Amino acid sequence: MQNNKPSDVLVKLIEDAQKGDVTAFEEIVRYHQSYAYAIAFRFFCDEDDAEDVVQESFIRIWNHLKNFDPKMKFTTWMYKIVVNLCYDKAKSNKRRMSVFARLNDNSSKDDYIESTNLERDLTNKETAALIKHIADGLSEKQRMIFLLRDIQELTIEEVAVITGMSDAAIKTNLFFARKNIRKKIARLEVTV
Amino acid sequence: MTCKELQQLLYSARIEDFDPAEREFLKKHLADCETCKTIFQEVSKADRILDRIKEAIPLIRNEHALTESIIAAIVSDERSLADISANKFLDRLNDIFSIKSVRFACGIVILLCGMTYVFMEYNDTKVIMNLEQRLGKKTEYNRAVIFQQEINVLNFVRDLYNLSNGSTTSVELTNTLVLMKKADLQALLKGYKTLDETSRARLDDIWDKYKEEESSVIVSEKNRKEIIALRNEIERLKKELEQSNLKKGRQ
Repeated sequence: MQNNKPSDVLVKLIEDAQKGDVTAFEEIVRYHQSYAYAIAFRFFCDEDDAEDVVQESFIRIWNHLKNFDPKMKFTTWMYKIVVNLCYDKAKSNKRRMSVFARLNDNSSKDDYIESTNLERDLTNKETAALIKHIADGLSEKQRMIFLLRDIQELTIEEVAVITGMSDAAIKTNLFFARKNIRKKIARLEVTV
Repeated sequence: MTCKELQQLLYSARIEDFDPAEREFLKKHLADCETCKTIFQEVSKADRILDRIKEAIPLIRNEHALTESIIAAIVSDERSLADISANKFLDRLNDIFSIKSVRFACGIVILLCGMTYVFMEYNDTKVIMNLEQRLGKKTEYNRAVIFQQEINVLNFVRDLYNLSNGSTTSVELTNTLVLMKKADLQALLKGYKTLDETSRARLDDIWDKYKEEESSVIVSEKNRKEIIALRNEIERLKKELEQSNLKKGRQ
């Protein structure tokens, strides 16, 4: 997923927003919220949690916009904030046992996935069910690295900046994630 | 490469990430190994499913509403931050003034300032009242007259006592000074004969200074007459004193 906002327009919007221009920031939000949402949704497989993280992320971006280093890609900086907030929210959800109770609820999941027609565009619900199934059993880190690298198609360098992990650690986590996921998918009775 | 190693590679890397040698090996190996071929087919199927997930961009239920809620939260945060900082300032003031000793100290400072002001005002008033008493209420050297002629008087005083502009901080103060000096002068004139040597020398100095600068000092005609009268009086007193000293010397 690539951001198509012309960089000079984005730079101007960021400069204006840094001076306190809420309208400029609104424009930034409009252009980027779907990218932030994609990561959060694929991580939580839940629309409410994803929207909460997106909202919290942009509030944090607004509050720290003055610290934004223009040498860094804006989306990379944004992803870094989104990923950190995903981890925070996952931690608080774990405390309440809500998300993980839902994630571990595998009853009739396979039947639902196997009835999914993968030849047409997937709905949010179908995507969530698929990701939940294939990423089940992965650690939060492995799931996030897999999403960033193989689904969001970011480079290893970008994933390293976003997660704050070394290239080697990313490759190791990716190795286990891919192996688990491919084995799981192989067992699915779906036709593509 | 063994079958196990190839299977590990197939599960953990994408086919497009294989280097040319690995691809060549895979191609040849799959033709002979049924197990690896099955795994390759599974992995290929897995990759196709992952591609479908990749293509399925998650859609926000209501993008506009989400943007609105983000902006509303930011604006409300900004407002509450402004309120918090204003309230924090007032709370801080409240905290400071809730301390008894701070309230007491502030009261003392205000009282001292007030007392100093009253004392200074009282002092000035006292000086002026004293002078008015000494000069008599009907005298022309009352405050009103002095204030009317302030520019001339100021020039006169500055030249007479060698005062720089900076030394006169207010017209009222200078006028008070003039009144005092004039009163002193009159007192000195009255008692010239009885003056000691130092006081006489001081009076003569003042007078000499004025005489030197007389032409350049701008004074009103009335003041000039006054000054001339004073000068004549001093000259007369001086002569009188010299004659009495001569008589004393002859005797």
